[in-house]
Amino acid sequence: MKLEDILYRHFGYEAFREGQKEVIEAILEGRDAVALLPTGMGKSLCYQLPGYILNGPILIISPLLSLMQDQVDSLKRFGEKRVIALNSFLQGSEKLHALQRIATYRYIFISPEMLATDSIQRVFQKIDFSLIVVDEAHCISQWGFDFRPDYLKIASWIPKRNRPPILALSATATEQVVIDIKTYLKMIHPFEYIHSVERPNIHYDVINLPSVDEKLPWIINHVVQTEGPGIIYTQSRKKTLLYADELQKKQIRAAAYHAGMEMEDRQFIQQQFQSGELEWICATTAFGMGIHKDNVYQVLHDHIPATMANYMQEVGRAGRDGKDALAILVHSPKDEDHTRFIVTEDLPSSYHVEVFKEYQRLEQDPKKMIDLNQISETVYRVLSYWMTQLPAEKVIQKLEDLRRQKVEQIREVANFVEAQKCMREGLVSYFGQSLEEKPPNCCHFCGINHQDIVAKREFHPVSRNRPSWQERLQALMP
Amino acid sequence: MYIQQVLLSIFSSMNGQRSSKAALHLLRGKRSGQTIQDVGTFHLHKYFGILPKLSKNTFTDELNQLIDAGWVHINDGQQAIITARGKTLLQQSKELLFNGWYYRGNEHIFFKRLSLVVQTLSHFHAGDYRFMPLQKDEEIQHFVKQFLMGKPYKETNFKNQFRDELEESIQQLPIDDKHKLTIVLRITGYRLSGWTWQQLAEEFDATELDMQLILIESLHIWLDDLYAKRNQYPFLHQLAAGIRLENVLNDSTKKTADLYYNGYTPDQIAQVRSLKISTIEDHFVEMAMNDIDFPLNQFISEEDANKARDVMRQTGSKKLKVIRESIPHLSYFQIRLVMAIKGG
Repeated sequence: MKLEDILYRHFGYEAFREGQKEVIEAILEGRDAVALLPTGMGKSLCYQLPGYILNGPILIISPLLSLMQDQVDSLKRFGEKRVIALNSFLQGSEKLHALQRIATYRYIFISPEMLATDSIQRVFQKIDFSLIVVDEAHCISQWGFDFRPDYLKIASWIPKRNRPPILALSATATEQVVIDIKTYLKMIHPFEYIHSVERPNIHYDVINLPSVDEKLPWIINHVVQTEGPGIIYTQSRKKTLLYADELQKKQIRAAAYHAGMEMEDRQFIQQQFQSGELEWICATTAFGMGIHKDNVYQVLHDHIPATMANYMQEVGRAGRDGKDALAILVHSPKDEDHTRFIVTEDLPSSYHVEVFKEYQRLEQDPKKMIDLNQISETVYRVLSYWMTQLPAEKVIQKLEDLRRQKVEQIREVANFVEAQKCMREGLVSYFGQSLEEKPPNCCHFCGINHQDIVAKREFHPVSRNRPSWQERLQALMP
Repeated sequence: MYIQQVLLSIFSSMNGQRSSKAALHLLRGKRSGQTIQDVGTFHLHKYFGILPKLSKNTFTDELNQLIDAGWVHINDGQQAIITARGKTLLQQSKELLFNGWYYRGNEHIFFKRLSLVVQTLSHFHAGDYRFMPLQKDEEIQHFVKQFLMGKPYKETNFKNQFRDELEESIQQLPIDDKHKLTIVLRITGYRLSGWTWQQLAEEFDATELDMQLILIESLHIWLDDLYAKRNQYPFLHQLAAGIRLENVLNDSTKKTADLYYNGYTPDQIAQVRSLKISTIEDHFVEMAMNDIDFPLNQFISEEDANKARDVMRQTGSKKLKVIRESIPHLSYFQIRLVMAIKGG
């Protein structure tokens, strides 16, 4: 049967999107593969479809519970029942039951933490996986924007006997990150598919303002003048609320979105944005995953993102349908310092190393640090990984290196923003690719006119009329 | 406003005999001997555990607002005392009908089940069989699957039947239309998104916390109603299965109770279970609060119990120390039992 037939039968799509078929063919030949495809371009299909051809379960290692759940849901939507997510939510008899029949599943999702446990390792050594997928593979590299120490250990858990092909997936990775992925996962002559980072329909601008205080009024005024839909990325939960509030006062249908909100509220916001009920989202970087909206035409930043990859991923949410879109970064002189402060705050300090050592000396569990609020959970994860890998003095050195790297990455973004040269070229060359031609209204440096890209805002009445409860019930179940 | 009324009501019941922090523990549903005892002593069952995630900051903010408004003042012992104005306000307000003791957050499970059933029926009716469920919790999904199985859930008739039952059931609840609307606005359907707390708060000119309390209270009232009228709303009654705590004793207390009713004395129980006697006494207080047939007179004579009640009435105090000073031959444990006893 042809791949296209399988695609249609199981997923209901008529044709492959760019890159998917090449990657799938390589896997079916038994090759390792690295696929860099932008979010929303059907990365997951690269392992979903082989599930209907290969024999034996496919193991997918995924870093985030929410992401895992998203993928499990989406497979279930296509009528697939043999899918399971092994994570900490799975408890007791349910877990036992799942593990007993583990080999009968077609897709097994697991977090790296879970993969590391002895009980899982015992079970997995007996299974003949047909493919091992490392999702968000950039997490393996310290150069990636989302380094996860647990990812470094993945290679040691991959079965030695009859090792199946490995597929590494990511949305954004630089050359250095791709090298790390191939090295740490011990890949053998992998097939590489690297989607071009160039997006000719996105137009990049930087607005330089003398002080931070002028950002909010500028952004609000800009939003009032131009058409959305759009996303404003900011750095704190408080600011997401501030922007949303200001926009609502101007009769613009906007909402805040951050990781501190209830899960249901976050889904409501996503739904409303997708359906067009909301025009603007004011968000932290938490917003984006799992959003499938093609008609976002503006992405605004009021800060310097932590890495070029972050910036790339966030502006990449604009113009998915190919229409012209605008990415504006609103900049003022102290921005770099501010981002540096926020980012390095997430790293363990030498003080943390000392406290950790002290607990070890007293033969107590250093995890207590979390309970005693001496350290946050995420920071602890990084610390405890390095403490098991290196002697304490080396850890301090290592953390110092990491700090320097992070500062360096922020410097790269600041350079990109402040450089007196074409932003498109800067972006593409940062990811090791080259630019063939520049579109009109290319960027801040080459010249850009907002009116050519986004239309002047027309008046959209805010028409959320309050139904009666009976009307609402009727609408829910007509 | 809602949260303030809740706090006023709690402080009024505690009557200045506990520190203001006790109200925070109560709202969070802290499972400590002291908090459980407070529930019994001051009859605060309805507020137990209605806001498990209430932060200390929010609590303090709300408390300060009460103080600024002149409804409450804090005395030297950090106790919140309701003022005359606060009392008047409370008397003028509608009585709150929470039932935290018996639901303990389970009302949200009921609501999630309901929300997933409605979302499913709504999408199936529109011919969309591949929608993303709002409820990600596998247990909820499993429950709803079991619920729908064996019912003609793809048929228009079934959907109408379910909707009519839902409408009738909500219709007759003794709550405002605003509260009824809040319930249905938190539910998602085909191309119909739910409203966030922020959106609801804005619409009704309230705080997010108040909107959440409105939903919780409405659900408690609704569930009480469903449990009282078993046969009238069969579908909803099924969705409410296992939501109300039938046995409200915690596991450890239950073990103590089992031993006690098998003839063990408190001291023996402490020995057998390798627990401190004070812990076992906490268990007995919890039992006294919940068990209508608790044999109080095996611990204190009816005469002494009445004396203790008299002192409480005369002094208006529910402080152990005050009562003990008047009746020195009673132990703290005996006094606690008298205060805790159901209906006492």
